[in-house]
Parts: sequence; C-alpha cells; structure tokens
Amino acid sequence: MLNLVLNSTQKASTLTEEEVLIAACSRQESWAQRRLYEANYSRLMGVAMRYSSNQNDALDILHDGYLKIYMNIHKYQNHSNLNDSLFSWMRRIIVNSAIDFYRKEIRQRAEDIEVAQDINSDDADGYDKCKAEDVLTAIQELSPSYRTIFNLHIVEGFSHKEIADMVGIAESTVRANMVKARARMKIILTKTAV
Amino acid sequence: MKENLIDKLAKEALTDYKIPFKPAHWKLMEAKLKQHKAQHQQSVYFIKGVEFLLMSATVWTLFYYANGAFSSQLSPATEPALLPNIPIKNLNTTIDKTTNVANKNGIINGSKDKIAPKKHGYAAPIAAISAEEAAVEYKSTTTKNTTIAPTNNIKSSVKNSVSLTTISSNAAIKNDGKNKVETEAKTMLPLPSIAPKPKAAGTPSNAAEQLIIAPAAPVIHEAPPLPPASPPSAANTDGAQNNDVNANLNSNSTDNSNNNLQNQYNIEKIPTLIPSLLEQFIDTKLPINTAMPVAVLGSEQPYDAGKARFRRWGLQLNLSPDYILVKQVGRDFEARQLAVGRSLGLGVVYRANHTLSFRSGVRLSQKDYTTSSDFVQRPIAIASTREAVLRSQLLFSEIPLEIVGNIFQNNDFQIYATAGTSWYYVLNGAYQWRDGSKTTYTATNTVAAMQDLSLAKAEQSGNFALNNYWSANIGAGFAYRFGKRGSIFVEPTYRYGFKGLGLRNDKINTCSLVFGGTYYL
Repeated sequence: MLNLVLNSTQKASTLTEEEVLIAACSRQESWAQRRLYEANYSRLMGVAMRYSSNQNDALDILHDGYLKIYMNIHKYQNHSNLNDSLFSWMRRIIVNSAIDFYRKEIRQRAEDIEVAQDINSDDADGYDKCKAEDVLTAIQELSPSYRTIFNLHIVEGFSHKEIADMVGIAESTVRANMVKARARMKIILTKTAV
Repeated sequence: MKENLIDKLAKEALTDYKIPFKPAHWKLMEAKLKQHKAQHQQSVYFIKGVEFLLMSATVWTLFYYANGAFSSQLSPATEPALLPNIPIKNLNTTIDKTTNVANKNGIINGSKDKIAPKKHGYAAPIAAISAEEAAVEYKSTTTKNTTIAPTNNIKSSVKNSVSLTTISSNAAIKNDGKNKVETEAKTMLPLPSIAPKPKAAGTPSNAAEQLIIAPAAPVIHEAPPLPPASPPSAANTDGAQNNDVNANLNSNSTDNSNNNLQNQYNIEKIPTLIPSLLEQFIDTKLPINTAMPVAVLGSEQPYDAGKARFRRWGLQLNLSPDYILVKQVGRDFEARQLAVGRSLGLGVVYRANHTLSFRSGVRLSQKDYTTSSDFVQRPIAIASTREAVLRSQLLFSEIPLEIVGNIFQNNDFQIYATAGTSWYYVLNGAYQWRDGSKTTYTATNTVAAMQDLSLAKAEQSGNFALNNYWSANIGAGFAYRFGKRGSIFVEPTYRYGFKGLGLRNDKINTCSLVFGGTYYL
C-alpha cells in the first residue's frame, strides 16, 4: 500500500512543466493558454509572417492556428526524446493554417498562379548582405502563391510533389512557380540592397 | 548558383525568425477564444434543445398511444376523470313495459346482455338478447308520470356507459313471436357497455334463439359467459358503489320511484353526457320491426372475415447516397468539397396499426472522410524525404430505430413521415500510414514512427465512447405498393448528429436520399 502511494507520488512529481501546461490547456484554463501563447509567440508569429503579406494576415493565421492548438492539445503526445516536439507540433499546425489561409485567399482573389508576372532574372547582385527583416519583407512582397510555395519548399523543406498535394496544384506548376518566385525574390532583394 | 544563394539566404534568415511578443495580440486571441466558446455554447444549447424536443415527442407519443387515445372512443379507465358529475334533473319519463324493458341507453332489461371484449379501441357494440326477453314495447313521453323503481334487473355500469357504442337505424331485434318488437332509432345513440347481468332465477330463456344485434360499428365479438345469477334483493345494497347504477325500469313502480332511484343509487353521479342523450332518446320511438332483415353475425365468425390480411412484419432493403454536411471529423479526417457517402441497410418493419409502424435494422455507411493533410506528418527541413500517404475512408455501422407515421395512403400509394434515432460506430477508425518505400518511417521533428490516427489511438486506449455517435433522424417518404406484399419507396432523410465523434466531439450531419423496398411477411 505504501509502495503504491510512493509510486503515485513519484509519478506526479515526474510531470514536467510542459505536461502540466498541456494538461491545464486541455482543461481550457486561461492562465495556461496565455502562457503557451507567450512562450511560443515570437517564433510562431515569425512563421506566420512568412506566409502573409502583412501583420494582420499573419495574426489571423497565428490565431487560427492557436485556436486549433487549444482545441486539440489533448491529442498531442510527446515523442520522448525530441526536445522541442511541442513547438514542432504547434509549428506544423500554424503552417497548415497558413496553407488554409492561402487557399482562402486564392479563392477570394481568383488568381491564376500560371499567369503570374514574368520575371527577368538577369540583373542584381549584392543581396547576399541583406538582413533577415529585408528577406522577410521581400517574401511578403511576393504574390500569395509564390510566397506559399517558396516558404514550403525553401524554409519548411517540402518536396515539389508534397507541395502540389498540399496546395492542390500540379507538380509542374509548383516547379515553375518556384523558379519565378526565386527570380522575383532576387529582384526585390537587389533593389533593397541598392 | 545565384538561386542556391537565395535559398540559403532565405533559409538562414527565416528558419528561426522571431518577433517580439505584443500583449495586445494576446488580448485579440483572448477575444477570439471567448467568441469561439460562445459559438460552441450556442450550438450546445441548440443540440440540447433538439434533444429535449425529441425526448418530449417520444415520451408524449408513447404515453399517447399507450393509453389508446388514438382511438375514437374514450377509454373506460379514463372516463370518470374526463366527465364531471352533474345531477340529473327534470328527467320525466314514462316507460311502459310488456315483458322486459329496453332502457334509454339501449340496455335490454332482463336479457342475457353480452359484452364484446374491447379490441383495437372499440367497445362492445353488441347486445345479445334471448328471444323471449327481447320483446319490448317501449314508449316514452315527457310527462311526469315516471315509473321507475330500482331493482337489480338492470345493472348498468356508469364506467362503461359512455363507451360510444351505437345502434344504427337499421338495427333490429328478432323476438320469439310472442311479442311484437319494433325498433326505430332516429338518431345515433350511445349504447353503454353492459356489465354482465345476473339472470333472474326462473326466467325463461332459449339459447338457440339468441341473436346478436349488429350495429354500425364494425367490430363483432363473442360475448363472455354470464356470471351466476344473484337474488333481486341484493341489488339495493351493492349497486350504488363506484358510480354504478343498478336500476330496473319496472312498469309496476310508483311515481315516487324516481326519487327513490336517485336516493338509493346515487344517480346524481351519472355524467352530464347521459341526461342530454337520454332526453334525446326519450323523444324517439323505437318500434322493433321483426320483418326487417336482421344483421346477424354468428359468434364464430372471424373478426377479419372478408378483409385482406393485415401483415405486420416486413423486411426492408435500402441504400442511399449521403451528402455529408460536416467537413472534418477529428483533426485527422476531412471530407472532400462535395462529399457523398454511401449507405446500405437491411431492416425489419413492424406495423402496429394502419397508421403507425416501427423499423430498425443495420446499415453500413461509408462517409467519404479521408485522412486529412493536418494529420499527415511531413518531415520538416528535409526536402529529400519522400512520403506516401495512405488515404482511407471512414466506415460506420449504423443501427436505426425509427417511427413511421402515415400521412396519406390508398391502395397504391403511401406518403409518410419518419422520425427516430441512429447509433453509429466507426468500424475502421484505425489506420496506419507509412513511408511508401519502407515499413517504418522516422521523421525529424514530430513523428516517431509508423503510427495510427487519433481515432485509432482513442480506440486503442479502450475509450469506446469516442468512436460512436448518435443522430436524430427525420424524413418523409413516398411508397408505391405492388402486389399484396411488396412496396418500393424513396425517402429524403436528414440525420443530425447530436453526440459527436472522437475527442473533438465532432457531430456528423448528413442528408440522405434513401431508396429501398419492403416485403411484408
């Protein structure tokens, strides 16, 4: 009996701060939600900013994602040896929210990514000295389709085929748009550098 | 090279890009959470309201039909409560009797009255009269020469007196020829069911000449056996209990007998329906014409003789396309833009009567929910890793329980409405996904190895409640009958999930167009 009590006490004490936070968020406790929000805001907002053209859109993406996180955090299972697994899980949800946002935006704007502007990629040098803010600004100036594909491929590391599946376009279109997005980025960064 | 430089620059600059926290943004998030909570509560209240309405409707229906209220007649059991006690006043009646007396409610005095057992809501429309007792000469006036004396020759139960048994104008009583008996009812009159009356000792009877009067009501039954006779003197002591009236309309009675009747047998408790009908009847002469054809049914004649057999049980096969109105179940399954599921079912139908039937069975429903992109965990920052995703559809087993009520029907067509509930269970909540080329897959960030979807996780944890849900069903149907046993039908149905599925408690609503056929056994 005593052993049983001790075991349960040990079990309770071995709960990490993250587990406590997750449990409290599962119970929809406000303090835990705020803490989770604050702890991950800076990095997740950075992710959201990459997928949007302005801060308002980024905030929409972020808050949609957080809403999903709060509603589904009880499903999260810690995969032991991965230190930042909770953040990665949240980041993936934010990325998916960004893709959803992109789909909505595309539907609203009825933009055909195939007829995006043609880019001349001959000029420009010196953009390699641009700051992170400049790169972010350049990405935000891209059209939604270029921006999403560029982010998914370059930053998140998805393959063209995966992006095609996620976004719902042909793989060849993804490839073509990647080339155009790079070219467009080059122009913007060169202008910024100059 | 330039392109690679841009890629490298973007990756370095943006992979771990941070933006400082702004408290104002948390306020916005908080407001959004509150709004979401309010919306969720609204939907919960709506669901609870619908549940309450359904429960109320079910309870009311059960209560209503359990009490036989769908019958056109009042139940004897409920009658005392429904009818107020109003005293009879100014009841001026003269009754001349030759041998026996038929009272105002059609009770044949001194006869071997028989009561048909109640069936399908009808009270007994039968009075079986021995021939020598059926000789009745009945006169009524509105003078005050009332001659009523209480004896026990007629035992009329007030409880049964309002069972709306009727004598039609063509009803006739055949006598034995000793007395001329004529009956002419100008109006449809309530004929109370008659409690088994003891036959007076020494009263002549001829069983062979017993006839059954068949009034307009269609139900004919054999009467139960008569109880043993009781002496006349006992009537004055036991007849006045529980609204029962024992009265003998005797031609030898004096003028004071009316008062005696009221005093001794508590006639004041006779319901208000009776006086008005009595007065109506009093103004009516009832000559009984023996020359008229008598509608006689033998007691052995079956109840449903001449009618088509009422088949109660039937087997039903149905299939339907189901349009899914809820796009996502859990985080892991989502429906397509226009998701149309399929259902195939086998059921049993039980017809309680011509208007109401019940049905149940088993249905298999494929809802066209597939694994969503949200679930599929992709390697982050490893573009070279290929991953094939197994997309699978959710399959449910459904057990419906529905009530079907006819709105209109003739020999060929039937229009009906249905309401009920269904219970669903996910048959294939467990899916595994894996890398297309390997049996196991290890991702860099979030995924440990090959694993199941969250529905499967719930199932594996033994939480049965997470993998089933309930729906309230409502629909209308049109059926075409062919032959004596078959019918085909089409039935638009809406199924509202009022207990959700999975940890997110997602409620699946579907619109179905059910096609099927019924074969009655």
